[in-house]
This record gives sequence, structure tokens and C-alpha cells, in this order.
Amino acid sequence: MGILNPAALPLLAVLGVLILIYLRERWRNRIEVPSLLLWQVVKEDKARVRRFTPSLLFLLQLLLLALLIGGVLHPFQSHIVTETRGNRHILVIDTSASMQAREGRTPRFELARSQAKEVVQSFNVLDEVMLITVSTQPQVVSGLTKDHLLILHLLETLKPVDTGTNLDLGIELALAQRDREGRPGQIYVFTDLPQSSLTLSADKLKDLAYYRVGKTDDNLGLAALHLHQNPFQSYSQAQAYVIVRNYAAHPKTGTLTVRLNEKQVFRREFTLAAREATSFSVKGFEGPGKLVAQLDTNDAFSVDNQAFAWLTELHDRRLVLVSAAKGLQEELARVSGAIPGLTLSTFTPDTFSPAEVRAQDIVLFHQFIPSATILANSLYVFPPPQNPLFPAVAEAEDVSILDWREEHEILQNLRYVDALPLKKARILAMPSWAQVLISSRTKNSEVPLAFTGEKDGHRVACLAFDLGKGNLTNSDNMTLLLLFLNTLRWLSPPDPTTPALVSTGEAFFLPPGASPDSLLLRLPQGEEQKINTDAIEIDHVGEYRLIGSRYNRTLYANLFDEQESDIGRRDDDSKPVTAKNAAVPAPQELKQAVPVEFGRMLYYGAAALLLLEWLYALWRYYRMSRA
Amino acid sequence: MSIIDATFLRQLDRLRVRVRTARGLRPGETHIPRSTQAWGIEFESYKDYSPGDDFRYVDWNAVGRLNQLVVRTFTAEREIPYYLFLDTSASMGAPAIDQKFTFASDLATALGYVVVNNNDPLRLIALTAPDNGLSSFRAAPVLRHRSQFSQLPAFLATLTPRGKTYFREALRSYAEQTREPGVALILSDFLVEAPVYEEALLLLKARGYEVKVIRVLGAAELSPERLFRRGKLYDVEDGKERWISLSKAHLQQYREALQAHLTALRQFCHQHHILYAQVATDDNLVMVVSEEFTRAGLLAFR
Repeated sequence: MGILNPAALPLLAVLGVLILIYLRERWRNRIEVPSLLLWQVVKEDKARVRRFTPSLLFLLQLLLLALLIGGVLHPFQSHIVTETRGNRHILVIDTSASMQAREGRTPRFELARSQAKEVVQSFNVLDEVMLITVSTQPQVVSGLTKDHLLILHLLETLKPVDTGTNLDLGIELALAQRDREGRPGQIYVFTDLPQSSLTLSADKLKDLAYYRVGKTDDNLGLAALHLHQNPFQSYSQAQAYVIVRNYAAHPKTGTLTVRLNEKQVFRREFTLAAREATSFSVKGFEGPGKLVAQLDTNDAFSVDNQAFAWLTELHDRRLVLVSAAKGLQEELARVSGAIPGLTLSTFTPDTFSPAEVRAQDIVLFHQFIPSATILANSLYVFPPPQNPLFPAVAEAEDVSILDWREEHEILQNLRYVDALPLKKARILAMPSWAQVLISSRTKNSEVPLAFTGEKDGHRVACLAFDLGKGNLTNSDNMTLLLLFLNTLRWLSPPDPTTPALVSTGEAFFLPPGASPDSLLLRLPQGEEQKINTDAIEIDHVGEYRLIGSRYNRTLYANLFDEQESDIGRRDDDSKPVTAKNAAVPAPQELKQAVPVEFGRMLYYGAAALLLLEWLYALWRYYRMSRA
Repeated sequence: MSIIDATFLRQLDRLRVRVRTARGLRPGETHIPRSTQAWGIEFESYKDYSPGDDFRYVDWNAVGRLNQLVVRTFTAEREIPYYLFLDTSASMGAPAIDQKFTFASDLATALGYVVVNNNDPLRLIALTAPDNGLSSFRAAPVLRHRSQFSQLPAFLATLTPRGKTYFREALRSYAEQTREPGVALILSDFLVEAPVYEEALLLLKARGYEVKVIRVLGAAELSPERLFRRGKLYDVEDGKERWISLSKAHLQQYREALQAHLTALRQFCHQHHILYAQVATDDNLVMVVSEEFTRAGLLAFR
């Protein structure tokens, strides 16, 4: 016996209110009599009269209120019921790229699927089954269901994808589902990964039924396709490096073919010793376009035999310099003259107008902050002390660099950052949209020397120190020149029509304005599907094409995943569990207290009481009328 | 709501007020036993002739036998003035469920009809609380004929029970202003101290009125347990309050006090030859008028 809605308990105070109303009426009400002359003989008894004594009407009203409040409280009576309940089984199936590796003629995924089907068929009819697939992310294909035929059908429809795997996350999800509601359950994992590769604790792994498939290591794959072409290089200056690795424990022979726009530009036959890798350099491309590296070999895993890249055409970039310093203007003229595709337009702060800037320009403001918003990627160098964008807090001399974000694109592959010549710098108040790139420290806080960010849809970089006075072209300050050029590269706006390179397992996010409702996605397999979200999951290697009325884009998806390509599995810990070994517990009989709510009965009782009162009043009225 | 209707009034046509001593100055239709006059219809007696007597009433046969002038005298017929005193104090309106004032008004209407139907003059006097220093009664015009009867219910309709009981003051005030005494019919609950009503009734007696008392009691006065079990009693006239829990003992005490009050009035009336009648509001009005009042000697059949 209990209540399901204790929040309604304060309603019981209404009963007290009813008593108060009665008392108040009792005290307030007076009975008019013609005279107290005859009542003088009767002793006055104020205390007794004022005492609360319930009348029949009060009791009826109290009962009515109590029934209604009782209904709101949702009272329940616990009944012990015995339920025969099946066990819970959660199947976790690895659908990563390595599951496409063939064992003889049969793909590993088929082996895993067969084992899973056998396991499902061994379940008791009352058992509940859940199906989870795992690639880079786990996905619940079916919630707990007793429909085993549905699970078998879903197993048939599953296909592996060309992505890596995160089996730990999938098992964590299964454990969480199993432990829900405190009911026992069994987790079955079907994968080609050895159990030792999991990073989960032994406590979590001890109850798993682990079905591992696959033994072969026969794979020769592309480990990487690097295309080196920066924004200021033409396709003829670009250079491609193809890394091929033999994952087998024996020598493998293959042929690497590189095609540019379906035209063969490179072909080489080679033999690699066991577990060896080699790289091939391809250069001297004759035009821009789609670059495909194809590896022809006889191995068990074909997903990593193809890779894509894109050679871009050189677009002229304009660097708009706004500076009053003659020395910097001359230095940048020399630098831009040495960089193909980069032209320099020089303005002084007096002659500069924001209308001069185009969207594809890179604007460099030296010791100057424009009053108007600049709709282009901008580099601010040594801003003046009083400016609204980066107010200067203090001046500093002989600053030493103490920290920098080496993972940032501007600082990648840049050594000796701490050797930058910083004789004079300004301590700037960093805006909220910016992140520190290079910093020093004072006693109290971090001091930003360079920071980057995005404002009004454009990239912005700011250097708190000066580039001028011959530093940029001084051979002693190569780090500063490289930092400057890297910054220009980072600020170069990408060409929105250039195909994008993505890795399988990642998501490609549509740019703002590309409405997904009007877009079609053509998959590498040739199928077309409508897009419903801004993020497109890339599951397969190959060419994706986004087709829309206002937005068109090509995506090239590659798989360079050492764990997936290295399909060989050591047998030291592999003791595949068979369906017979996995103990399938019998259905269990559970006795549990089931709350049966009877609040509605109280409502009915209140209604019946009202009806009875009404009928009684009607009967009395009828009797009085007749009398 | 009044129950006076044409059917009831037809029943009243057979009734008259029984009068013992009261008589008026004007000739009327009421025979006055043992009173004679020199003219009339019903022979009463003889008397010796006196100078000035009408020769038409000399009984010549008696003169022949007795050799003495004797004159016939007749039974006196006078009109009897009726004064219907109706208590309109607040106590006549409480408790509301008793409808005591409505019952008393209906009684007054019925008695008034009986009076004017016998061609006697009737005046209804409402015993009210003094209003702005004015007199403590309101008198209706004198009704002398049954055609004027409709003025009586109209006057009664203007009355509402309110204020204190000025029983003694009102009766004295009216009696002092009236030269011709008659029958005083007093309709009241008499819920005042005994000396008050005793003084008032004796005053009327002393002024030559033939007093008839009709005490109107509410059903809830007789059985207060119908009204409440416990509560704060409120005196509608003086505004005093009293917390009463109506136990059996208390109820008995109340009933004894009521009975003592009733008995005191009845005995007083008996001692002073005042007709006393008592009615309760749950009595049937027709039965009260046609049976109870005739049994009590207030009314008689014509």
C-alpha cells in the first residue's frame, strides 16, 4: 500500500480547511430567536457550543473530499505476481572495414553473421534480443525484442562499411543496456579484433561471449597518399607520395598505378618483403584534376587498394597591405615577387578604403585598424595602442616565447618558434572569439603574442609584435618568414568548388546556406539518396557527389587506417566461443510486487456518494412536497 | 403567504364576535341583552310613562287593565367598536421559519372580516416601535362596512415586524386618545415580562374595554430542537446573544420556563375576566378560527 503521487499530499490540508470553514460558520452563525426571556433559565455554555462536533453533512463532505484527494494521490496496492521472463541477449557486431577481409572465399563478416544467427536460433522463445553494430560509432539496430525472426532478418540486411572501429564504445553501450532495470543479460561480441585489443577493464570483459573471426594477414595496401601542393603552387609543382605497406608475414607483389583524370601518369610493379613499406613519388603533373592511386594485387582485403586526391589549379591571390612603413612595403614586395600566384597591392592608412577589398583577398593591416568591418580574411600586425578591436594593455620589450600551439596549421612543421625575434611587443586584450597561438607569461597571467580566430565568417590572425625593420627577409630569421607564409596560407580562402578530401568514418558538414532539403547525395556505389541533416556520414571509400540547385561539391573518401589494414590476427588469445559453449540460461520465474492503482475507484466512490446524496435529497423533497 | 381566500371568507360569514359587556354609543345591529331603549323591534319590558315618552309606544291594553300609563320598551341594539391590536415588534418575525407575523396577520384579517361583516366599526392598530419620536402605534382607518374590508389586508401588507416591543406604551397611548371604548382584540406573542403585559391589559380594562387576548406562538418556540442543537442565540429585539447547548436538561428547563410564562398570562386573564386564546403557527388557520375560537368563546355562530 502506498501512493504514487506524494506531491499531492499537501492537498490533505484541504480537510483542515473544511474543518475551519465549519468552525467559522459555527462561530459566525447566530440563531435568531424572538426573545431570550425564556432562555435565561438555561445556563450559557460557550465552550461546548464552540467545540467542533461533526455533523452528518460535515462527515459526508469530509468523506467526499477524502475520496477526491485520495484519487489524486494515486494510491496503490501491491500485488505479488509471478512472471516467467526470458533472458536478455545483446549482440554486438563489428561492421568495420576489416570485416570485409576474405577468409578463403568467405568474407569475415559472413562468418560473423552466421555465428550470430546460430546464437540467435539457440535462444529461448521468451528471450529478448538487442542488436548493435559497431564501426566508428555504435548503433542500435534493434531494441530489445522477442521477435527473433526480426533479428535474423536484420542480421541479413547488415553490411560492413569502410571505416575504422570503436569496439570498446559498442561494448560499453551493450553493458549499459544489459544492466538497465537490473535484469540479467548476456552480451555476444562478433568481431575480428582480438580481445586483448580492447581497453575495457577485465571486470567488464569477463562475462562477454566473444566470437572472433578471421586469421589471414594477406593484405597489401595503400598506407597513405600525400599530395603536396600549397595554395601558391601550380599543379606542375605539386608532388604526390604514395606509401604502400605489406601487412602480410610473407613477401607480396603488386602494381601501383596512378591516374590523373583517368589518364595513367605512373605505373610500377614491385615486391615488398614481409611487414615492409615503401613510398613512390609522382610529380610533373600536366594539369589539375582527380588523382587516383590504384594498387593491383592478389590479397584478402581490397578496401585499402584505392586512394584519391585532387590537384588544384593555381588561383591568383592578392595580398592587400595597408601600412605606412616603407620598409615593410619593400620587404613584402620582395616576398610576394618570390611567391607565384601572389600579387601585392599596397595602401597607406590614408589611401585605404574597405571597398578595395575582395572576398578572395588577404588583407594585412600593419599598425592600423580600419573603422569599418572588413569582409575578407585579415592579418593584423602590431596593432596601434588604442584601437577598438584589440586594445593594448601594455608595451613589452625583449619578450621570450614560452608556449605555442604546435598542432595549429600555422605552426605545423615549424621548428624553433621560440627563436622568433621579439624585441618589442604589445600586450593586447584578446577578444572572446580568438584563441592563443603563441604566448608568453607574466607573473600574473598569460600574455598572447599571436592569436587567431574567426569573426563575421572570416579568419583573423593577429601578431602582437612587428614584422618591420628588415626582419622578414633576413636569412637569420627564417622562422619568422615561415610563420608569415604559413599565416598567409592559413588565411588563403579555400576554393568552394574544389573537391574535399575526407576520411571514412568522419562526417562532412555542409557549409551554411547549403540547404540539405534540396540536396541529393550520390554514393560511391552509384545510389542516390536525399539528405536530411547538415552532417553527411562518410562510410565508404570512393567518390561522393553532392548535387543541388545552388550547391555542388565532390568528396573523395579514403581509408588510411593501420588497424583496419593490418588484418592479420595473432592466435595467442583467440579462443573463439561457439554457440554451444555460450551458456544460455533458462527462462526465469520472477515474483515481484506489482503496484495496482485504485485511485480511479476512489473517484467512482466520490461520484457514487454524490449520486446517493442527490437521490436522498430528491426523495426528501418529494416526501415534503407530498406532505 | 396568506391563506385568506373567498372560500374561507364564506365560512366566516356564519360567525360573529361574542361580546359580553362592550357596547357603543351609536345604534347598531348588536342586541344588548338586559338593556332597553324606547324604540326598536324586539319587545323587552314596560315602564311607567314619563313626560316626553312617545305616545306611540303606550300599551293601551295595559292602561285599560291597570288604569295606569305604561310604555313598552325594546331590547337595545348598538354598534360595538372593535380595536384590533397587532403586535409588530421584531419578535413576531423570529424565527423566520415560524412565519409568526404572517399567521397573526391572517388571523387579524379573518377577525376583521367577521367584525365588519356584522356591520360593526373596526380599527386596526399596529403596535410598532416609536419612529422618530412619533407615537408607538399605527392606526388604520375605521372600517364600518364590509365594502371597506379590502382596506384591511392592504394596510396589513404595509406592516413588517421590526423593533422592540412597546406593548405597554402603545396601548396606553392609544387608549388615552380614544373616547369610546369597545372590544380590544390583542394579537401578540406576549414575550415580555409579566408586569408589562399585566399593566397594559389592566389599563384597557380600566378604560372600559372588553379585552380579548390571542397569543400567537411559533412552532419553533414550542419545540426549539427543530431550530438548533447548539449555537449562538440572538435576541432580535435587544440584540443580546447567548451561547446555548441544547441538552435534554436544558430543553426541559426551557419548556418549563415557557409553560410558566404561558400559565402566568392565562391565569392573569382568567382572574381579570379577560378572554384568552392561544394558537400556534403550525395550526390550521381555518380550524383555529372556526373551531378553536368558538370553543374558546371568542367567536360564536350568528
